Amino acid sequence: MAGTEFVKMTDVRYTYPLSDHPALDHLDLVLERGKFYGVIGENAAGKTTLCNLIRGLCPHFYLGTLEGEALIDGQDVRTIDDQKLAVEIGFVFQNPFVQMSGIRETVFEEVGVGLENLGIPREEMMRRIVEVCRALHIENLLDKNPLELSGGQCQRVAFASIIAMDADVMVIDEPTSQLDPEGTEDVFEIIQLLKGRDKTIILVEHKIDLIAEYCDEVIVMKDGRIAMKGDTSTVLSDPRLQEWGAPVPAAARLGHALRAAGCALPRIPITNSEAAALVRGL
Amino acid sequence: MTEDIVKKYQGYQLYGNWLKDLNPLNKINVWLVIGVTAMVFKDWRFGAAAIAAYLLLAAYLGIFRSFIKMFSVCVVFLGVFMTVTRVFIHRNEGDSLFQVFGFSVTDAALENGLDMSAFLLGFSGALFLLFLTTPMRDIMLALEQKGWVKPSTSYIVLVSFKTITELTNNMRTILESQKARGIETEGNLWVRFKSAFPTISPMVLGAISYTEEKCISMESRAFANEKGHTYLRLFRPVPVWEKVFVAFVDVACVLGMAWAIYAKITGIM
Repeated sequence: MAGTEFVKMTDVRYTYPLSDHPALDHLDLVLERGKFYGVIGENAAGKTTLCNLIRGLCPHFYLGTLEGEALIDGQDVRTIDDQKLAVEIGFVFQNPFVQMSGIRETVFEEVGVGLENLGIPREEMMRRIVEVCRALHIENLLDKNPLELSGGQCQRVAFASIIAMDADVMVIDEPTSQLDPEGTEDVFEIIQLLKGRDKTIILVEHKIDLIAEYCDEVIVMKDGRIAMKGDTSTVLSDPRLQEWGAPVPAAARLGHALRAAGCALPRIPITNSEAAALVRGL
Repeated sequence: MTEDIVKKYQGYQLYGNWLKDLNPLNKINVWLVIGVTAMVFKDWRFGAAAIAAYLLLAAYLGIFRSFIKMFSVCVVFLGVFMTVTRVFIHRNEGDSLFQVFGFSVTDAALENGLDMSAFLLGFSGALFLLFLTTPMRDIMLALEQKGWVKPSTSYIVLVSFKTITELTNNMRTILESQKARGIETEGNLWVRFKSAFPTISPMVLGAISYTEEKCISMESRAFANEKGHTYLRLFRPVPVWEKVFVAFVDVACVLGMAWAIYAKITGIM
């Protein structure tokens, strides 16, 4: 149900095996269902580790040391059934090619991999595959070999495979880092579609202008901690963003520059359209 | 177009040829038993007949070119090599037929060599026909649907075959990038040996990283879920005529093997 607590982390500290320094350090975080969260920060800030923790990969897959309280849907992540997490939380990450199973001859079969593993009846499987491929505009790829697709196409197919499983929560870790601008646009179209379906989305991205456009809330991470969390406008217009090593939207940089030059801006814009509206109003 | 694809998956997986449409496990049965029979006969006349039959079957199954391509390599490396080796080893047995480079080719040695070649080619021909008509994924799916292997095992077997190709391609890319960094990869044995570590270590590290990401990706698709598994692709239920056909081939081959053994013991063959 939207608005209910989904993730609650209290004083969480996580250290990977063989590492001296914690990747997450005294982290406190609450995430609610139905919201779209953007996670930003410099490299090694702990963004991917946060995703791995929410998804249960830390500590189930990566092992390591977890301290503090980390609850996913009210259950301790240490003892939660990771099969349950696999069903409830969809995960899409950077490398589009490695997300293909490698053993399916067509995109149709590839999208059905997760459904087969879940034991979904055949007719229902086919209905979901067709529906999700139509929604993601990849019907023309249905009979293609997944290994012959471009990066952007593979990423669409990866999304389709996860969306077909109908998880309520999507953790998406830098899905566009290996894609060209056209591929990036395709991915954000899909993310917008997910937002329209009231999914809970946790998106790690460096493309700050897209974060500004789509996210409800933004989490800024630095050195394994949350530097700031809040409404997208409030966070992305904060002048301390650069200090935290986080990217700043071009519109916000313009806003800060105009204010520094003496312009009486009512607020700092974070998107180009906001900036255009504000500048017209000057 | 979408409707055509859906229709294809709603039906059974068929290839449009009654031999190719046999259940994969029955195909393994049939081809293996034929191959083993050829081995038991170990006779160049039976071998020649078997090879002729394989060629006709390959043409009938629409895989003649692929079969010839693979089998001709086998004929050269196994057949010719085995015959020449045996002729050389047994050159002092039997009556001389002709001389080659000063060595006598005797009737007994030649027959021995051809029999051994028939032994190897008879089996390998059947094996090639099996794998050319039965993709590995069909075999693993049949085993899964029978309950003999788990879906996770099937996945590991299938992805291992693909990984060999991927690792080979990665190796090429790594070699090119190391060359661009000034590492010599061509030359004498010592030069190649020196370039081994900077070439193999990135490949190994890359493979570990790739495996980790692949595991996470498959985990996201409920790979380890043990509670029931369904299938998009289905094989047709085995019809009675197929069971009769397979039984007939098995019985015929077993009788053939029995006769071959009897004929060898009694000196008929």
